[in-house]
Amino acid sequence: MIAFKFLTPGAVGLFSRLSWPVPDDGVPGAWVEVEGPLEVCRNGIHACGPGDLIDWIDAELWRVELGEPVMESEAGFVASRGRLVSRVERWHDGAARALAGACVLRARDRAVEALERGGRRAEAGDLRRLEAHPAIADRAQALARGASPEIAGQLGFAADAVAMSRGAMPDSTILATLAPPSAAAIAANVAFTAARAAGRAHEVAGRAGGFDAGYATERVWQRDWLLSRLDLARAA
Amino acid sequence: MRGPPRASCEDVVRLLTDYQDDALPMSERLEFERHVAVCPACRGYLSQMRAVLAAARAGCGPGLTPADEAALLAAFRTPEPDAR
Repeated sequence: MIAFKFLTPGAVGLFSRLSWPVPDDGVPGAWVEVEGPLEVCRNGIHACGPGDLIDWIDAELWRVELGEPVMESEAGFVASRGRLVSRVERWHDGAARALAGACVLRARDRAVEALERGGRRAEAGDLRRLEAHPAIADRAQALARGASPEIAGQLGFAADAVAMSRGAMPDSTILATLAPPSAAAIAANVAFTAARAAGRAHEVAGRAGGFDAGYATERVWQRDWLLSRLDLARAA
Repeated sequence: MRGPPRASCEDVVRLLTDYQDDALPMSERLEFERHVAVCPACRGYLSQMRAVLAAARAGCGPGLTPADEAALLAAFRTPEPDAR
């Protein structure tokens, strides 16, 4: 079967550090095989379907052929062997930045909705009209002063999403010498933050399913954005 | 669609040694990896710790004799006397 696999630059596995043999002139890379029984997250070739791409974003996206038998698990597909077939060329730093940008606007929209629910319709309208990231962050921070915790929380998510889209790290980051994050890592981070903002909005509004339902709904939106952008909708 | 990763940055720091030693149960290992997949800071932290470990291994020379290793482990496991 054909599945997908995100890898770090140079076709290296993020967790395994395995340097995958890459295709050459249309010929798939060499098979990579593991020995012994398959074990999720520990032993096996791991890959995912198009619906789970959003959870594992990294710098390079590859189509990978998995040899049977293939085990399906909560971590995706696990097989005893696999080989890279072709790279999804539409996924690159520009696409990652576009995803991060789209997710910033989604986080902005959650803040807009929080303002509307709080009766602050004029300010909500002003914020909704902003497209430039610095302006969104500045306005969100200004509006958060004196706002209720629910509104301030959503405005904070919007401002955080802007900061993360520029590569900001959490204040608690232990090592100040970390290299700047890649465009793909930023996109993964901003998308996750936007999904958390949606989860929180869902929870505060008292909607069915609470945080997890709001989070999942936003992840579905992100997945569909990704599949459309990469022209992989037919594979889903 | 899976639910949100439950591990925090603090969890990743706490679990990193066991992760490197392959000592985490599958569920914790998966949560660790799901967090690292979406967190640039923890991704960088994991990368740096791996670099440190690789450098330490490269500088270790031929390794300890079994007797020296046993003595060192015994010393690590013996609580220090209260120096106050």
